[in-house]
Amino acid sequence: MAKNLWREKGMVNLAEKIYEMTGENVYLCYLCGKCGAGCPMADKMDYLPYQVIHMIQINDMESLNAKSIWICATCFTCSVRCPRNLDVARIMDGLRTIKVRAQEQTIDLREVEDLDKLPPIALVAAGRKYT
Amino acid sequence: MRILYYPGCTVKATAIRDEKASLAVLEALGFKIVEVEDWVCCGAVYNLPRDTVIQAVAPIRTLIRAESTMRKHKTSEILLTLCSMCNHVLKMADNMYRSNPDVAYKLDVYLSDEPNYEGKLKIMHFLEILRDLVGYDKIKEKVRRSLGGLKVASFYGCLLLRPREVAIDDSEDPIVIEEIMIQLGADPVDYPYRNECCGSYNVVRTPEYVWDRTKDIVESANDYGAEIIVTTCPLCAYNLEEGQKRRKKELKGREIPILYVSELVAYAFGLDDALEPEVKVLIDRMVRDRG
Repeated sequence: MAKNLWREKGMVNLAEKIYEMTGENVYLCYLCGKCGAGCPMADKMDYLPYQVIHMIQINDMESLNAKSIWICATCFTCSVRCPRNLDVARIMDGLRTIKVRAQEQTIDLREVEDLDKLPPIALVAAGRKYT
Repeated sequence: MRILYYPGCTVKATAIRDEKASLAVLEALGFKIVEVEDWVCCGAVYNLPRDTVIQAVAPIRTLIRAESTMRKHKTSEILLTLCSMCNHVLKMADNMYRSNPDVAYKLDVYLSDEPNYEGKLKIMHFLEILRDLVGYDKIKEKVRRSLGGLKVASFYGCLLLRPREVAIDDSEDPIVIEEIMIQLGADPVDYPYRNECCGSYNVVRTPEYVWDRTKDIVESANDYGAEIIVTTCPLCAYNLEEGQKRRKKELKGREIPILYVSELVAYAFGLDDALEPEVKVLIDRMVRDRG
């Protein structure tokens, strides 16, 4: 298991942090895999949504470094299908927000190719999610 | 009936075709459109953490200005949106403001330079207005030029249908675009990818993933015999169109033109002035080829 920096520093655990931020209780998840099965971006992800949730349950900080949380396009397919009524997209956004609030941005809009061709909606959305 | 209208950033830029056609259709159906004065961008995506309200500031500012426009021009409380993402964001912010008094108070403090939001508006997407205010029968009456059994694949994308509290139709089995297409004399195609995500804003950072995605969508529509794909989201339209160009070599089957729902409605209503000439020529040719 990855080193638990927050606990060493006397901070709350990841599941509590996510609960505080998003109001979603990750311990409700019983890992049925429905979110991963229906996810349109699943084939690009390193950890499927339920695997990310499992990592949060066991307080594995590696979940914050998962590529998946940036590949999730917040399409809510998982959220409407979850049998436990967990808003999975919201949990993913919670993880992203932890990273973004720690100033770990994943995009520099100046380096985007096709910048002049992309519709404004894409740039605004990417700016809000990745920075 | 006078209704408010919130365009949003992209409808005024790359999706101007959609605006022209939609407004012409609604005017033909007897609506008077009043654009919200001094509207601001909604933010396109709604950030979901609940411990902050900053994501709702821009949409609520727009809604406040919509309310002032409503009072000034004596319109009804209906606020029209054309873009799926604007529709999603405005509804999410409106829900958040109405359902949580603490959030409402915080937002009022943030927006102290504006009057308070009264929560009187009813935000409706173009498709909802066609379905709930106009009705399918009246659409059928207005048709001047049938689409002659054109095989239309509707692409809903994600944010029109999800999450449930802001959805315009069922998340898994939506029907509204198909119903409208039937009234226009088209033949809707039922294919499995119609309510899936196109990859959305990932096009900025990892476009390859989006092109893979759109290739799957277009191939699936092709397999089910679609001749045209219609959507209401300017980002889906861009991704699907650009994705086909980028994956030209790998794509099985033909390239399929991507149009907005409003353009087919405008064509069927005979509103030629509202269509771009090349779009009109394209639909003309497709309908004629079918005989």
